[in-house]
Amino acid sequence: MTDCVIRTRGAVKTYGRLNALDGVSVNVRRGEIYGLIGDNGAGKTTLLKAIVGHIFLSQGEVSVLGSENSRSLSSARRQIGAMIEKVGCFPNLSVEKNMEYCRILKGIPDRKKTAEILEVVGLSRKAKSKCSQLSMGMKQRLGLAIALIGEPQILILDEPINGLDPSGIHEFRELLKSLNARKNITILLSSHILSELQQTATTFGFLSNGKLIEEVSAEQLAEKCADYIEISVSDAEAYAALLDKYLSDENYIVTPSGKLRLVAPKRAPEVYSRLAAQSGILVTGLEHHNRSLEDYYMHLKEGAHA
Amino acid sequence: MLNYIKSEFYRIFHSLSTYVTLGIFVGLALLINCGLAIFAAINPGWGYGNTSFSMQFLLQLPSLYVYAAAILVYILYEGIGKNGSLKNAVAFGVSREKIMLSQLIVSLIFCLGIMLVTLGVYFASAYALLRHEGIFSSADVMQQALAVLPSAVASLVLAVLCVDLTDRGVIGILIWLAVFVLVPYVCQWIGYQVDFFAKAASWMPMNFMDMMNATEAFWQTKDGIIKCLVSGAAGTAIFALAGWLVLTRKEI
Repeated sequence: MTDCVIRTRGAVKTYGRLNALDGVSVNVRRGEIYGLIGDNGAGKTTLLKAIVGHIFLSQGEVSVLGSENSRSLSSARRQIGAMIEKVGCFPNLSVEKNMEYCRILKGIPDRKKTAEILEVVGLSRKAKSKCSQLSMGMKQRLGLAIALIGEPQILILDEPINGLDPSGIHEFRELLKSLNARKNITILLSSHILSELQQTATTFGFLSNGKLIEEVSAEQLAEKCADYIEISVSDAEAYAALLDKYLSDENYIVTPSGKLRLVAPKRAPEVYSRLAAQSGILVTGLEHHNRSLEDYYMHLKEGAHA
Repeated sequence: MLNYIKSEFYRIFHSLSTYVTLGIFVGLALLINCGLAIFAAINPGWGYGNTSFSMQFLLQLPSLYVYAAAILVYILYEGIGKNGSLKNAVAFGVSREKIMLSQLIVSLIFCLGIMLVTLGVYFASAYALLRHEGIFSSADVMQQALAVLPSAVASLVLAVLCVDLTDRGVIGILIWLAVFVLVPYVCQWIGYQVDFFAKAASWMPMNFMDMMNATEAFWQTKDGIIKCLVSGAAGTAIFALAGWLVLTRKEI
């Protein structure tokens, strides 16, 4: 657990009778892109706000870079760049001046950093524009620029692609991946657009009704959401030989339980049962697993509520 | 904390509202003395076209400093909660205690700067445009400013607390008005019946600050200056403590 840069333990946040967070324990490891998935009101923003210190937990603990008490947490939070909810900027100052404000606030002596970061997020041409004149997408870019100033070790982004156009979303995704790969920045981002997170995150945390219902790596999730047909036959060895002979373009593995798993099958399920029947092999079971991330999330949610 | 103060000054020096505010204050100072000079020029026998009357105008209204402090804080920090800039500071690791202390320091320096420039222009225009005669001089106004300063600082601290506490600065200023202006009047009113309230009201700056007889202002008496200093210091301490208790626990 020493490589955890962000950790919450039993995080509870109540607003009156509402449990916005209900015992959430997340572990974000160094170098990860951690995607928080959840419906509106699931507790994503509340969790992120508790991590950056905008709100106080009713119970539980937050740890950033190993710091837990309030004084050391404040110091550790200097290593965080965050964009949560609305982008924080002074509407009557220009983009450039807002960046300068943040550069001075973070104590960065190099004035060139402002221009460099605006270039990275594609805002150079809008440097002289007032923040109040920016479109939603441009404001999101400014929010990212502000978060990036000071080369933080951790980036925390709440619904970062809201308001971005398709090319903006693509650029944003590539930028996050590149920051993660080149600078080893740990990224914690939330979204309810699952397909987008699926393309970016390396670890996923599923939140529902203030509870973390699962924390899973991208590999594990890919396995859980994989498209495959699992066939139980009376003679697995003979059936495997048939597959090699007649359907050689198929990829399959034999599971420890003796079933054949056809990964990303190219044909309809009945083709495989017919092949077995024609050779006198008894098919005792055939299951087609094909889950999208949405399906998987809905399944998890139903399980959590049951 | 130093970085937060520096960044706030960067914002102040690059905001149009700073220069508009300064322009309004300086403009009003010029307007008063120019008005007196013009009337004196039109009516040669007019008795008020002199520096003494100009200074007396300020000496009669020490509460101006108290109101000005609240207005300037409103101009500085209105919308700071709503525009999300406070969130950036917290997310950058600046503690709420440091933010509050920095805001007090920044607004105090800002107010003193505006006050010095405005008074400078006021004195310069008065001595340049009006007859130098009468019993009151700029030295009296400077003494008055020093006497009123603790109460103005208390007003400033309360204004920072109120504006930070509410997302809408106007509501913050209304709360300030209620606490700093309305409560003293209510206490004074109840004091006609209940002695305790009368005593309490007598220590509230808005109830004694503007008292003045023909030759002497309240703060020029021994009792007056003690009340000015003690009530200002006590107000500053009380409002700062309230701010610390409330703002350090405020969720943003």
